[in-house]
Amino acid sequence: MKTAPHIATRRALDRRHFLKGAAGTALGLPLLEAMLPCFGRAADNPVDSPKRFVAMCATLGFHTPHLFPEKTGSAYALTPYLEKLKDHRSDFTVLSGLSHPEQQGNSGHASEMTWLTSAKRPGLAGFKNTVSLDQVIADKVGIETRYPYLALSTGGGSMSWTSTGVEIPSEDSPSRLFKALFVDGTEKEIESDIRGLHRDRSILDTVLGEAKKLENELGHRDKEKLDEYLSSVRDLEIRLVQNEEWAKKPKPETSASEPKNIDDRNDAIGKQRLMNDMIVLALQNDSTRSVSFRLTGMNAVPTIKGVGTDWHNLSHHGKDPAKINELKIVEEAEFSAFNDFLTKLKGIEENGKNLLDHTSVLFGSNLGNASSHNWRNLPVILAGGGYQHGNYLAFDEDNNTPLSNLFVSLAQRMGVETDQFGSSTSAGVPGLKTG
Amino acid sequence: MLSVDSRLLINTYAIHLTMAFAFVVTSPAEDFTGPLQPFFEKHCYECHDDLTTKGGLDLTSIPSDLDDDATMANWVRIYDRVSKGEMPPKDEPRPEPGFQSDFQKSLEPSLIAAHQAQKGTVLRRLNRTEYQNTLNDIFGINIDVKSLLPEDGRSHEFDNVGESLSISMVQMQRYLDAARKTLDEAIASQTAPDKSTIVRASYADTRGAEKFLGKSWLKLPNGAVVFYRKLGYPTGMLREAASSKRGLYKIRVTGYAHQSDKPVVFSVGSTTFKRGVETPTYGYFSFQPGKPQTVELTAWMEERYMLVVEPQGIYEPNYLIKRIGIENYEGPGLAIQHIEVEGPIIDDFPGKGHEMIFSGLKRQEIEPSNPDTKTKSWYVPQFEIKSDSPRTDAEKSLSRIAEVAFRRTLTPEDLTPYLDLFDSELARKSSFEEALRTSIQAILCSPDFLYLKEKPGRLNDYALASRLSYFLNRTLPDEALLSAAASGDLTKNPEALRQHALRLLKSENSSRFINDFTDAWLDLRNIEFTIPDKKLFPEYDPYLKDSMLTETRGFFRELISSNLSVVNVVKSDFIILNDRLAEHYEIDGDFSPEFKKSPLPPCVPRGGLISQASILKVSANGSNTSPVLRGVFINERVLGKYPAPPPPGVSGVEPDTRGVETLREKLAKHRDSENCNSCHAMIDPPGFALESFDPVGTWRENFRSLGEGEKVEEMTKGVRVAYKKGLPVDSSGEVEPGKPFSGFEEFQNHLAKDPDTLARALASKLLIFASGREMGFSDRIEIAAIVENSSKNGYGVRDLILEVVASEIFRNK
Repeated sequence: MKTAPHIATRRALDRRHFLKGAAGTALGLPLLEAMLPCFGRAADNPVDSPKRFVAMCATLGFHTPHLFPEKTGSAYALTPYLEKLKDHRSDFTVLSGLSHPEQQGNSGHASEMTWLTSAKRPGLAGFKNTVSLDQVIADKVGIETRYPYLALSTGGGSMSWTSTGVEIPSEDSPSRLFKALFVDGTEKEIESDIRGLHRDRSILDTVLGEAKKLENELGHRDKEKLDEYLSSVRDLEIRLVQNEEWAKKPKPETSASEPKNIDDRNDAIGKQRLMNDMIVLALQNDSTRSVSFRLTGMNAVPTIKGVGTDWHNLSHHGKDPAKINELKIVEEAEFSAFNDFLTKLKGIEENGKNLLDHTSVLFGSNLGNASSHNWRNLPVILAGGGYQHGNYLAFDEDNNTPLSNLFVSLAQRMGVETDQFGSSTSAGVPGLKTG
Repeated sequence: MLSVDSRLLINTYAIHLTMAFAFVVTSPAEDFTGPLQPFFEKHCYECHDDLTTKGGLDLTSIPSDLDDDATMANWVRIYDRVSKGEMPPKDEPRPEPGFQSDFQKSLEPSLIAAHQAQKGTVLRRLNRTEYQNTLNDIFGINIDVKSLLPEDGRSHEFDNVGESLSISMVQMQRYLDAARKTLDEAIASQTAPDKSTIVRASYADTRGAEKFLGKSWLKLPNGAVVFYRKLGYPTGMLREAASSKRGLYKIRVTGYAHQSDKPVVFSVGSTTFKRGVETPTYGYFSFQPGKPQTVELTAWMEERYMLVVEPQGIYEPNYLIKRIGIENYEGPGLAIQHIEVEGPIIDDFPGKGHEMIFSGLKRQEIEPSNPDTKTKSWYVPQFEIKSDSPRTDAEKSLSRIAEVAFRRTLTPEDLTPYLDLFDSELARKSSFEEALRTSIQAILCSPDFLYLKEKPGRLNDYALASRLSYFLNRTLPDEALLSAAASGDLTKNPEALRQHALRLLKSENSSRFINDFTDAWLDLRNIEFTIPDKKLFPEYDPYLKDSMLTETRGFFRELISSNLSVVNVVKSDFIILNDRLAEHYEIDGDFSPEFKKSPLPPCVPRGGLISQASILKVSANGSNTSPVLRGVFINERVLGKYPAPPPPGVSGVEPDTRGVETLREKLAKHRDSENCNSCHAMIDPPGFALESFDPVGTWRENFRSLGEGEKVEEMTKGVRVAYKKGLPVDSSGEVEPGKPFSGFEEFQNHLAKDPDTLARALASKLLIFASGREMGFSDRIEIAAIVENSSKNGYGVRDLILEVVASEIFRNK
């Protein structure tokens, strides 16, 4: 897709401003030019390649003695898991001693909800999640692409949370994702889709009006809930307007063909790899710039040669060396898949550099030690994104540095004007510099 | 680390509190901390000032804004610890008697006022279970829309607390989709129902049988096929015994117990070639030896699912069949002659939802130009609605739906926006039916449908009807409740409310309450969260897992229907068992797959909910048990005590299953400081008592080990076990100083002596689940009254539920 070089200088006019002025009579009004989002600057724009962000979380953790090196700095000796990434040694940084504070929750795995958000006490009374990093980024850059963000998983659950603290369901079908990215409907289908979008918008206008009538009936705390409802309706209206415009635009062409979903539901690594490939395609074609990908653990035996015990069970190895060895097979496979992902990004040239240079990839887990459900000392790898890499940065393992400090840097890198995210105490972590 | 009972007060304090409440001024003092200073100075600052912040508490700079949840929780914690005499600690000088009650009196009014000001249930969205039940019940359908929606936020264990239930753009999109899917299902796309057919199939004739007959399956001269054990491959799938469409089916399995003098148990379920979807088990049954018998069941089957019948609990030793040949094997087997599948059974066509939408409208099939096409298999009829006055006609339909969906009577204005939407859709050249569907979709996405609207103060009749119905039936109020609401009976007449509660408890939908409540309260929803290690716990199988759930739900139901004492939560003289659990619990007797209530035999360390395998499983992971985690489980869920989380910087002790040291021993080493012990003295004891049960609920004298340990000469499922006999279990402890127990049974006896605590805990859980909000400081008075009433009637669990329904907490927002 080729378009003239185009820099968006302001946000598209919020449709909600419009609705406010027109007091509910906006039904079926023609769109104003100013309300249209600015459409994708293609990835081959000679002036400036867009920056992208990808976050991948393995929910059953990594056995960190197999990950963290002994020595800090750039001269560290490779550990079993880093051995898998050795080809990219100068393209990533390993970080330890990071975590979100106060992650004790209503279950040992509650920190899954907050890996990208840092909200405290997940699932306990009064808990409300906060916005995830990928969504903050999508709010800033999402308007540029057909999909403001992709929330993906290998099966169930999601790392992405809205600003109202609601989980965004994830897509776990690579084939469905491929179709959404690259396959155009027939003219008739597009027409019917657009009719559907119009109808949905009429429905939203109606229920919005109804919700507003309630405003006066409700008390202060109820109003907060009603506001959530109002903003979800308004946000969806805006999205539907955008969807309609995108529906009229042809999708980018790709030489890749539609993938076949992995049939074996226990083939976790196959699913990870296939979805990784879709992420590469989506980034390469600038269909999105913000991706979260949940590598969902399983209560089943993963289909990997040499593994015969269910994965969740292995993660609770209780220091049994046989189990740790089996777990190592699983986790090495995850690292190998991640390695291939980095290789692919690096192999795609973009403006004299490569796609990895323009993509910050966060890879890690919400558990520092899954065997005891410990959420401190999280395994964190940051690759690409134009940072100066090649180091192992170890922060205090007894007094962890907020992981959100790193998040601030990642957000800034994506153009978000902020010096704060969640529980951050400073912008960025010492020792990590941009190139 | 603080050990705190942050939500509940022991009874004496509650009574004290009632009195205090009677004469305090309702508005809190501007700064309530002023009068507390002398107490702090004399007894607290030594450890809790800006220099020595023991337990992370600095009283010199503690915030006093009680509107803030965390600050409020802190002050409640301080109140509780001082009230119970835990602070100042035992080895410090005791405060003079009057000092302590002065302290309470200074603090109470502020805490009560602060909590009262913000406690009402926050505008509560239907959670996805309630949403799905409601749609299915309105339209008389049975579809899964729950999986379209993101998981609901939780507050502690409950997923129906208003404050934790949020909504987002994506969810809104899914509501649009779910409403569309609902209408697709509710509106008949055919002119006549699908014909019911009967398919009869047998394993002897199934496609591919020749591969298995004589090897894994034995064909008998009478045509029956015998299974000698449940196999990974071939499974017991019978591909010809399949559903055509989704719907209700009658399933008949004919067979008998082969070469056995005892009944042989089997499961009936269904499966599909589709990947990643649920494969349900419908139930467990048994065949007697002798003549062929037929078991009939009715089950919901998805489209093109095939039946699976598999034997349970029979195994040949040491893979004998492979060695001697199946025809020479003499052990017990399951002989199946044939299986019949009859359906789909449709007794209501075009269905409740269809009637509700179209009744009174002229909806007709559009005759195709060539009448022959109607006979073709691919023919899909098209319909049109003829109307001279569309808006008036649409109004009939929409008012029927809105009244049900909004769970109240309508005002004329209620319908206007949906009729306007209908008109505007017509104006945009939509057909009558399309426009009507659009308006119904809007109703199903409206706040009136998605939220339980409750105005501050006393609930009105309709809000009360909904609250009661969602509490005990997990769905919208039925006609009887709505008409009671219309007459004003529910708010005016306490007996009417009580009778409706009793009626709902007896109704079929009460099983939804039992399931959802125990899923949350006892965490049964996580029964499959870990799969026990096969080497360590080879006895675990799906039949055991399903039986665990049925036992606990059945037990809780029995407490309600026989109005048994809440003491049964920890100790009972009866058990509700089937054959699988009887084997698991090592209880002799005549048991079948059907659960029955029987007396607990002497010297069997079971009884009560807390010894049930389900509870023991969800409170452990797949390999080991932690006294701390189980201790927290029992404290929070059974005793209603919420231990404070570990202080910052303390991470958990890592489990070690190598058989060198038990977790208890490891913990003891880490507990050298008084700081840890002050809290763990409360947390751990229940966990110690439960050490006698392994992660699947098997009684143990020794841990099982895959490392160090003695060899074990035992067979499970026909194979020698792989685990070794590890270190001995120590299940002794102290419920509190001076109250030791030597093991689980003495621990049970201790808990059983304090029914007030058990009743208070269960009442609080029920109140949270019923009202959709957490309980707080100002609720203590009423909860204490509920417990008091309950004690007068033998602590019956059904009475407790009725007390909850009658309470102010339940009847107010």
